[in-house]
Amino acid sequence: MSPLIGRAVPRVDGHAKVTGGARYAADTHVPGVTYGTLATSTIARGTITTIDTTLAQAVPGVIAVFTHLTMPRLVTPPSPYPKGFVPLQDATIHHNGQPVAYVVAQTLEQAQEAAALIDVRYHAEPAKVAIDDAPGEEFLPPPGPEGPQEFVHGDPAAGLANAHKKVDATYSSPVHHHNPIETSATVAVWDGDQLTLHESTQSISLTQQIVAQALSVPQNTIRVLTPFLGGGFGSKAPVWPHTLLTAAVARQLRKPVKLVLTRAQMYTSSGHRAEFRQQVTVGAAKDGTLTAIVNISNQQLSRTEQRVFNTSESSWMVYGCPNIHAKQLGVRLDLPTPHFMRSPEGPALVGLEMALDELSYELGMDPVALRLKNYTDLNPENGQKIGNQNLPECLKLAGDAFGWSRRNPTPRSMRDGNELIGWGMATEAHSYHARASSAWVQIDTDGHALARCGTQDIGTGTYTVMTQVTAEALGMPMNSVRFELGDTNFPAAGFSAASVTVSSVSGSVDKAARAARDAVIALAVADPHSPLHGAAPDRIVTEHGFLFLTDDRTRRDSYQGVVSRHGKPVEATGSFLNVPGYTTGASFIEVRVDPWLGRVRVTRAVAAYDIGRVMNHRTARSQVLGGMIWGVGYALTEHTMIDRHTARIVNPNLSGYLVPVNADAPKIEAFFVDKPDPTSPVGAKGFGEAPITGVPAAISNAIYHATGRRIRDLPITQDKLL
Amino acid sequence: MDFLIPSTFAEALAIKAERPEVVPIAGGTDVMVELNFDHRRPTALLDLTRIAELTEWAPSENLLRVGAGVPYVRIIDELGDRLPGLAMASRTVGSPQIRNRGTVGGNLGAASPAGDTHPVLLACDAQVEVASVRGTRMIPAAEFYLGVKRNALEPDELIAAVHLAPAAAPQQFSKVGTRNAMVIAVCSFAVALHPEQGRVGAAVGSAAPTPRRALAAEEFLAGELSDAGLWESPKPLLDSVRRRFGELAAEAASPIDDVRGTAAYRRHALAVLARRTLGWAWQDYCGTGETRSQSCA
Repeated sequence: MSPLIGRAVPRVDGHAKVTGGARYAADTHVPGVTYGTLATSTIARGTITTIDTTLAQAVPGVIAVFTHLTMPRLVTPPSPYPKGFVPLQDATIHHNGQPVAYVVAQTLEQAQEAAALIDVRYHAEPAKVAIDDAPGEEFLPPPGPEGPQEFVHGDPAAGLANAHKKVDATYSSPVHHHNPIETSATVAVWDGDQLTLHESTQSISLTQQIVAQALSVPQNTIRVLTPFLGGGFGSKAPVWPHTLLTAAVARQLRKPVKLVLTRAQMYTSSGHRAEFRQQVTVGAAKDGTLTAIVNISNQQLSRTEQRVFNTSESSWMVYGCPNIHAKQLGVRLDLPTPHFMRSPEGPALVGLEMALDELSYELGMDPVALRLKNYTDLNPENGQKIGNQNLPECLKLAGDAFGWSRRNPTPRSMRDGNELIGWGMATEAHSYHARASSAWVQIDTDGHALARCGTQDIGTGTYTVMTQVTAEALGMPMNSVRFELGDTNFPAAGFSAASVTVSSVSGSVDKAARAARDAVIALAVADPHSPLHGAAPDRIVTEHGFLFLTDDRTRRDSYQGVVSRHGKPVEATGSFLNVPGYTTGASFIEVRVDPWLGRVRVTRAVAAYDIGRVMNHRTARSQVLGGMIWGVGYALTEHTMIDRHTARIVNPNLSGYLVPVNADAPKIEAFFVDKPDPTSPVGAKGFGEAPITGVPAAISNAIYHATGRRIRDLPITQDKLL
Repeated sequence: MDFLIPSTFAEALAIKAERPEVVPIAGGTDVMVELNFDHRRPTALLDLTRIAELTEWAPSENLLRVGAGVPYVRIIDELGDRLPGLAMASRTVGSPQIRNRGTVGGNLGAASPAGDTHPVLLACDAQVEVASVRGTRMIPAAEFYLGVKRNALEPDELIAAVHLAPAAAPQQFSKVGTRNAMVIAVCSFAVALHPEQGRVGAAVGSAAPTPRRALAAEEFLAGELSDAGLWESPKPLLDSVRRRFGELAAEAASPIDDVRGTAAYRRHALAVLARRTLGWAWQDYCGTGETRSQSCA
């Protein structure tokens, strides 16, 4: 039987999603639900002097208006709660858009009307909102979960001194926002001291933990449900204040409360990619061998949290270099806390990949050859293998398909009528961590299987891929298997972020399914009514829902037969801790530039990745499409604009914040090496975020090739190319 | 808020006379955004979508009368041959869903300086037919736009239709956006050749408080074309002529810096758009009729 894993099967939840059958958090209907709305601060720094809710409370239908004076007291949860404070607990304002009141009413419109009538007076202090507002205020933050903020290997100064050619340049990117289609929503329902949260979260277990800490209640009194997510991209991975406030308000009022953030509120309530600036210095010997990589970066932090999210591990994880210095500085600004956004490893890699392109021109060396010359599979931190061994194959797969060998490296050497054509490339890379997960599988007397795991499907295809994993491990057709997720009553799993879901969850699901299969085989061989009675369990295989004796395939039984004779379902569990790893690939980009208007169109994108064994070619390809297209936005259009005077975000909507539309999407081809990773029971590596990490650099490099203009400050808007 | 649903235009005019503060809504592509962002809170909306007569177009004397409620998609599908400039501008509006709902009447009612159809209406000498219980009057497009989102309608008036001559010669429209679709214009430009009048219509969008005719560019080009006898025996335009036309078109603008682009970029891009659109239109003109010239191809 050909394996189910890898097949490009359509999404098992696709029908529900396109017919409206998929119920997202905000779709949850709870009898007697009331509606919450946040009123938010209009200054970025200072204190509330007075807050008058008289008019708001007089609005018909208003049930309560909570301010910092009346809100129930909450505990500020420790990290990984990313905020460092809980709003509505004191008068201090830390950023524009911070909640200053929580209104609950019978209808959403009543709540919104009341929120608009709250009169807040502030003592405002001058705010700093851009790196340029705070020169000299950068500092080296303390070590975070990923380790120290500075990494030194060898002698970088000597490496640069000995270099034949050097590039020393500064690269920058602005604040970005995630913009998932589904804005964050919370429905909090208390039943006595039991809380059910219908939540749009990338981590139900973290939500359970953080809400329990904030409310000072036992974790097991909280159940979190997230059957569907309309994207997250990191914005829903942490637990943000709106969830804590909604749970607290619902408890206080003894009524279910629903809160759905507006699109504009998403720009101040659920993290963002920090403004980032890096000085990258690379040196190489005449033959292209790197002699030094130095990456000194600076990024925005908030006044209340100093964790660094835009990280520089690509400085030492992709290219073997004897002399490396990476330093991750931060600067505190009066903005919301930044967080990770697909991919936090992207900004640093974008700088490195642009610098290497510049170096290739200094050396007169092909950019692909320069990378092949230097790629490494050894981590200089610990001397262990990284898992990059197939990067050269990725460069070849994508480069050949793109036609890279036909490239004339001279800038402005290709044109079509008025348009300049350019080809550029970049390596893509992303790490994935170890996350424990557990799963439960039950085979019912009707021969159907049910698998459960407390993971999430952020839209990437977890339902589908885990159905494939379960069905393959059991030897059942996919339509005999149902996979359920998104419920803290299920065995726990980690968050669906950091590219770890498939790598982590596939292991426990596979183990649980194999244990259930083995249990059924054991029943069969012990059952005098089974044709398999007395056979050796290791001589039995399972396929299509049947059990066969390998030596004599006429002796067969079925899951339904065995379990129905057994008279009750067979259950098993499995737990797994994946091995952390690193996933690499390469993207090749063609752009066409109108030099008179500065307009760039990305017309072709070809990419290849080593993601271990491909779990599902359709969903894996979709990850590439999403990453590539988002990379177009990163390179050309996306930019959260913050007014320097008022500290307000000027474009908190999808009309002003320009994500790519269909007309911006190039033709995309995706290739996979498709070799199983030996550390995973099913061969999977982490993948989600890798596509996008190099794309902005590849586009910028292609624009240089087209125009001879090196734009180091993203996005590359039209005016910058005139 | 009241939602008023007249089924005839006369009924709508009666309501507007009685309650001039009501906000007319057709496709809703502008009004609904303003409501959703709480930028305005009208006491009543006047739904014009049930009024059949607004959704019709027909020849009217030498002109085409296009009802204010004809959506962009129908202008593209049904009038693309006769009103090519308006159809080009309509194609650049929003997404298919927006083009199914949005109307030229709505574009005029909102009178945003960035409205996509305005430069075409100006370049094509469109007349806006407005009506009230007091009667009907025609306002030339050039006199319709008074300021940022302000137009020449009296409080009791509604837009009934626009009147445009079927194109007798090539027309072009071009727009620069911040991405390839679904954007408000950074700047836009329309040009329409009027050989029967020996002149050219030209107008800029999204680069001044109102859409605006580029009069100096029009006059310069009319002079150049007439002096060289090019209307009668078309030849390719000199680069210097196209360039000067572009410069004068850019000078017609008084742009600002905003989130979509800088004033300097807008001026530069307008010059490019004007030069290009004129080049395309003139190339088409050279390629038509008995005076077809190989050198123009």
